Amino acid sequence: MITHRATAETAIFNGHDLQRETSLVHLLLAVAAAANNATTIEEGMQVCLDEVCAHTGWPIGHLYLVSSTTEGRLISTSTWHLARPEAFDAFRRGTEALDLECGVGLVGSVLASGKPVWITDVSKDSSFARRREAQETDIRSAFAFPVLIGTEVVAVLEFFSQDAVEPDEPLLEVMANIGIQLGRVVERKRAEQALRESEQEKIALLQSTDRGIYGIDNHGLCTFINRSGVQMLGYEPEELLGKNMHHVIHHSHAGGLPYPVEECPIFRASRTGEGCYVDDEVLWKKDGTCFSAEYSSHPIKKGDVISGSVVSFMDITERRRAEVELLNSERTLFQFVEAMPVGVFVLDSKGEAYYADRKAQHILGKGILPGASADQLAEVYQAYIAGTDKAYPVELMPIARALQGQASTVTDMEIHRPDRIVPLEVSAAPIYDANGRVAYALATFSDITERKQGEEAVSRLASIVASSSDAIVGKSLEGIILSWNSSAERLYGYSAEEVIGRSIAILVPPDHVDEIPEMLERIKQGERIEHYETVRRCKDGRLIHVSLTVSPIKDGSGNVVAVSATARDITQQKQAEEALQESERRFQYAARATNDVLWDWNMLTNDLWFNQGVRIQFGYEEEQVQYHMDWWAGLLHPDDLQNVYATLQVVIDNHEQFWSGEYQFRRADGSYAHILDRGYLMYNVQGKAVRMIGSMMDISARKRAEAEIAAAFAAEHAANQELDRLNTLKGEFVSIVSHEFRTALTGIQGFSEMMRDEDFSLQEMKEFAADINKDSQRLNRMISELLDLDRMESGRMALNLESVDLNTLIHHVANLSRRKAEGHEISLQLSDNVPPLLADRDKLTQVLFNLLSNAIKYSPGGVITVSSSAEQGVAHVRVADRGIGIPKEALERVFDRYSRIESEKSRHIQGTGLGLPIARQIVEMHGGKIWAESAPGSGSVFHFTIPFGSGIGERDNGE
Amino acid sequence: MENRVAKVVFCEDDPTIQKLIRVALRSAGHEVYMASNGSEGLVLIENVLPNIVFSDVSMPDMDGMQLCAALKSRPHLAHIPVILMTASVQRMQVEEGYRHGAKGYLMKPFSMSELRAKIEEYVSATGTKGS
Repeated sequence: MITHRATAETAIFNGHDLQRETSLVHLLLAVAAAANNATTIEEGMQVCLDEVCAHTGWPIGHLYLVSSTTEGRLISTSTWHLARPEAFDAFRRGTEALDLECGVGLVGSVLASGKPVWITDVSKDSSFARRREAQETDIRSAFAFPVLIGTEVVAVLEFFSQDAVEPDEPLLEVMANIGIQLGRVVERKRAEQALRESEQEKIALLQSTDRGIYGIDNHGLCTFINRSGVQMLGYEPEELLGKNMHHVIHHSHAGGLPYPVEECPIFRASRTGEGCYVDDEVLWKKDGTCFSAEYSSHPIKKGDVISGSVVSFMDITERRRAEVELLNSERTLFQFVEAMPVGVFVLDSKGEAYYADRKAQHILGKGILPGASADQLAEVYQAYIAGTDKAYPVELMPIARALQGQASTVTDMEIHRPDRIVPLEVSAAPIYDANGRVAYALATFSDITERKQGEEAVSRLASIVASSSDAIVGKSLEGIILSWNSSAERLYGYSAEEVIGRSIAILVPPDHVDEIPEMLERIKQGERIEHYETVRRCKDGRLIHVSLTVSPIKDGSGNVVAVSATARDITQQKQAEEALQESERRFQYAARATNDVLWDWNMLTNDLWFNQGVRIQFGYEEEQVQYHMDWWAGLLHPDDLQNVYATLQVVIDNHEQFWSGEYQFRRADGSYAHILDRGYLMYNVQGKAVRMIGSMMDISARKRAEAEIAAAFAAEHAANQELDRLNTLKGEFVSIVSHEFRTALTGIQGFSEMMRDEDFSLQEMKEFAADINKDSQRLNRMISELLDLDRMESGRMALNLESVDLNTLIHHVANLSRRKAEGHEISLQLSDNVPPLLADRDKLTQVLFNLLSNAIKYSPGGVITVSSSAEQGVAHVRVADRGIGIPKEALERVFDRYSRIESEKSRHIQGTGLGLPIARQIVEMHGGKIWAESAPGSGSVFHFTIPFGSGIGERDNGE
Repeated sequence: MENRVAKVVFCEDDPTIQKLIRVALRSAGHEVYMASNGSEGLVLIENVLPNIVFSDVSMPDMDGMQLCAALKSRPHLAHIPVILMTASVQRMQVEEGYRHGAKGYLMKPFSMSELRAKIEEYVSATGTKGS
């Protein structure tokens, strides 16, 4: 660029017209600036056409592009500068219709030479293709220059003048320079286009791959993610873009343990600028599940700076599953080999032990010795010829012969293991490779100890028959005795010599003679008769019970040729059975004789027998009783059913014999009896519980007694608690009283101390003395109250009865009380027709005073209403306040001696709390009643009644 | 010692005892502020910032224990010693009082010289600390 610029500048300064040179520089700069700023090639070219025309004053400028498809062809574009479009329209259309070839005409020459061309008068130039249009439009001069990338012409610009102008070399030189500048624009635009296309390819690639791909910046935030990625993760792209991908999809390990980002390979790889590959982790989906993933990351570098990473991942759940399945199928094959009843042993073509399965190792007593060759096999595995101590010749071993290509089987080999001798049957065969050479020799062998023993067993059978404890008798099909063992001699008393050759009929009692032909007939059919119980007669005439098993004896071709009969003496067994039946009968009689409920449960059929006790004890009629477990279970109290069956199951599972349980059982009248049920279980020889016999005992009476005892205990406990409560209350009472005493004493003691120790005026002294006096009175009043109550409670106080007008008394007490109740209004609602009462005036005054004091103390202010009325033989007085009220549960107790209500609100209130108990004592001494009505927070009403006259005598008489 | 004048807040609901205390402490030269319950007492303490507080244990509205706790929870009042006064002497109550932050106890009936001695004890203690 510098060279070209220098050329242009040289050209400029070689000229004579400074103004023109300055103008050329401006043109160059303007075109360069426009070219740099242009966003498309056409825009850059248009600016160039305009600028050049403006500079030269030429009216026409036009752009050709070089075809990218057909080499050496120019495409006439619609990019023009036309000073007067309508005037040049014909020329323009003629130009655009041209098909120009390289080397032909104005622009063809430029394309061919790569250099600017100037034609002074095109109308006179025969090589100019548009000469006719030029003549019509009066066009004369023309020049054109190429747009170059290196030496490649990518476009040509042409300009026309209506004047005939001689070639202007400095202009052409600047134009050549401009051509290079424009070439740079085209080059840049092409690069941009290519980049865009490549970007689009990449995007298409990203979107079309089935791998998940996402990018993160160096903060780990998602910058893009492809479609497969969002599909695998179950998100929408906008839910991930800008999010920290580790936190969203990689936050935890498969087990749920947190996965700190510092440990993440992607994170670490991006720090070091390296990639990573991981295939044993999981990624988390939006729905909270995860999948096995394989992923890799590659850092994005700008220069040396890492600006982020691209991560590519794949759901490999299926691959993992396939791997596991492959592993499993290999394992299955291996297990199959291992499960075969024969040992498998393989030698390779060199005769070295190659494989021995577990069974082989077990039979041989050792595994493969590495490097041991075929000729050492007998020595290594202690193989001997059966029944001898001669080592088995290696060349005769089937496996050695298999190496020579021969298949063989031997049964005369023994392995002498330290613990025992193992007889073997060994087969071996060669395994060939693709070239037909023996690749392996495979031997299978099995331990034939049992077979050998079986062969010995046959020879032993004869002696067993002889020594059997069962009588074994061989007969012909006609019933002639052929053989007679020693047990038969013992059982029947005949010796073999005596009976062989005689008919079996000698053993059969007269009433069983029919059995024999019948049995023989069945035997002839090939049938076998088992455990046939019958009676036989011994030599001495004694009859015995026997169990017979009679089998046909067949010849080699399956024909029945003789009969074998085995007889066992079951006389004792029969006797035992009869004894059992007798015992059962006794049980039935006993069951009938008792009123207890006896039962017998057949656990196989669930039939359940009951004796008559079930009717007597529970009141059921015979037709109501169903002899089945379901009936019994249906009468069990539903609360007990599950437990009863559970305990029974435990007993059965442990094979114990005794079960017992308690439950409630419904009587016919619908009430429930408490039952203690005990059962004895019987099991069959297989250990299955088959029968259970037991008895149900009605323990309702015992249960009732237990409940009564429990109730008595509870009552005593409650009484103790009440006593405790009273004790506590008494303690509190003492505490309150002593508090009141001490408070009064504080004043008395303090004031007297001051008067003694310090100098006060006479006036002050008198005042203090008055305070002392007041507190002394308080003390005295409290002591009096205590003593009064004590006297009244113990009946040691008498009433001083006189005629009292109740309303006058109420007026009097109200006036007394008003003096100490500044915050309260005392309102009276008195009935005019209350007759005079026979009462103790002072005591009644005390009742009213106490009730009013109480109302004042326990209400913060407001109206206290005292009312009187006469009702059915009594005078009724009510004292109502608007105070703190009394909780319902305390209403009764407020009149108790020790019961200043245990409440935070009243704890601070002065007084012994004896006002109400004293009032009650006085009212009751008069034969009246006292009570309170209240709701906490809405005030209380205290009531008392005094009878007119009569009630008092009763109390007095009582003393 | 005599010329150490203390500001004393008293919380006591018995009017006779209120009067007695006022006379006894004023004659000893102390400033006495009297409250009938704990919440009144707390307002007084906030305003007066006394050297010592005496409070009856059982009072309406806010009792002596609650007052102790209230002072303890206010950093600018927590240093003021509180002496609880009670007529019912139960070990439980004493321990509860100390747990709530009381500095000492006066059993009713107490003598005026006993009361003055308590004030001297705590005011000199805080005096040396404070100034």
